[in-house]
Amino acid sequence: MNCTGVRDRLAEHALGVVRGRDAAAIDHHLAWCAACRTEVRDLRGAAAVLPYALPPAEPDPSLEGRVVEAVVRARGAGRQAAPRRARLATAAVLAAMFAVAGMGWGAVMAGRAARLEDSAAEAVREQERATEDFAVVVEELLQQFGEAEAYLGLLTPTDEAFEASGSALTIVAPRVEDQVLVVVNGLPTGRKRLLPYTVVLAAGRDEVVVGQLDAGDFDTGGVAELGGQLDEDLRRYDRVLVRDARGEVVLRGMLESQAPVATPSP
Amino acid sequence: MEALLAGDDDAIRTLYTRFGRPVYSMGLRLLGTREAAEELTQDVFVTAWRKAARFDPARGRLSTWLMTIAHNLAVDRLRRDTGVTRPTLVLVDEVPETAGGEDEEALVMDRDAAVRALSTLSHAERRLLARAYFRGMTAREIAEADGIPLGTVKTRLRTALIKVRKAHERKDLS
Repeated sequence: MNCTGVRDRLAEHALGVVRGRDAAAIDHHLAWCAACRTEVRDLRGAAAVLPYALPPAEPDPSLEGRVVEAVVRARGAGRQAAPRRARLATAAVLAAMFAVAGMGWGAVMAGRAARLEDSAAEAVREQERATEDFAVVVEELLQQFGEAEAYLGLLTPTDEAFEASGSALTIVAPRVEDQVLVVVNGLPTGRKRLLPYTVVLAAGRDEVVVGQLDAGDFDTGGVAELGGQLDEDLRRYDRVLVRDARGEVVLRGMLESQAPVATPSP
Repeated sequence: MEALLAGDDDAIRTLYTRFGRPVYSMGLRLLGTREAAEELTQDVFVTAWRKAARFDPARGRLSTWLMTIAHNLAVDRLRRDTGVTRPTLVLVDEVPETAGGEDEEALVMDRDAAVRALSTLSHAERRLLARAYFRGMTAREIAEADGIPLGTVKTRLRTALIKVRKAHERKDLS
């Protein structure tokens, strides 16, 4: 969505009535467009005035205590769980990494190697290199986040005629921006009417756009990656969809929490 | 905000004193029951604590940030719980008389400022904003309901918000 399209709906967006895919597309635009971000900040500021003009309702006096309790409970749960969660998260992300390396990423790299008609040895080296790179990324993320959870999805084509595949990994951290990594392979890049592809995370009807992939984003082996930080709680998103420019879903997958791996007691 | 990040009781109480009632009032008006409004209020403050690290004063006021969280959670709930009964919405026409001590002062000023800002709008503009913000109606739904062009509704929504912003800014400057 460009500035004109976004500004056409910016007042509605500030009023909180744009939902789902449209809202995700606008948010994606706002993430990089400072001018539209300034405009929406002003409009949101105006919208936030509205609830103060409602006839005030008096809450039960006990509500304050319950609010404090709820926050303290959430804080306590976070602190208590932190050491254990950190260990589990490490194990979970490692499990995710191996799953990606062994299935999703492996398939990606195998496909890449086949397309390049590389030797088997080169394909193995490529895969090892990619896995190592991925491990470094995950380790860096974990070091930054401390508490983190990993959700992994393997992407499969909706049309069996496509020989496409992919993997998606979300890293959910309670106190910093959540992260998402998506790798796709084998999507047609020669048909202009299909491009760009849009990658979204979905929860029911709500969606958040991860990004778009145009022909130039695919390397010669047909692999494209995207990812980054999203100002969203990604825990609630349980599906990954890749749509072509017509809006047709071409790849999809379920994001599943990585089961903790049993670790020996210290 | 750092105290809120740490989950400090006093910081939570301060935030609640400042914003608890507007959040609760909005919850009651949107969701229709005291139970739902109370649940929403608790969720809003827990969410605020969770997202406190992401609050950037350069990108907007604390009140905007918190009320946006509250509004989004309320609208999400509204859309999830179909068939919820909502009371008729009435934006105040004048500043209500509010007895109370110093704690009340900031709230009264907020209400006063909001009512003054909205008084710069025509009745039609106030109604338009209320239908979008409190009823969750899109510009298209409003256009279809009223039989007026979609572009006109979008323009009026934007114009009305800009008027509110300018009037509210004048309050800040005065």
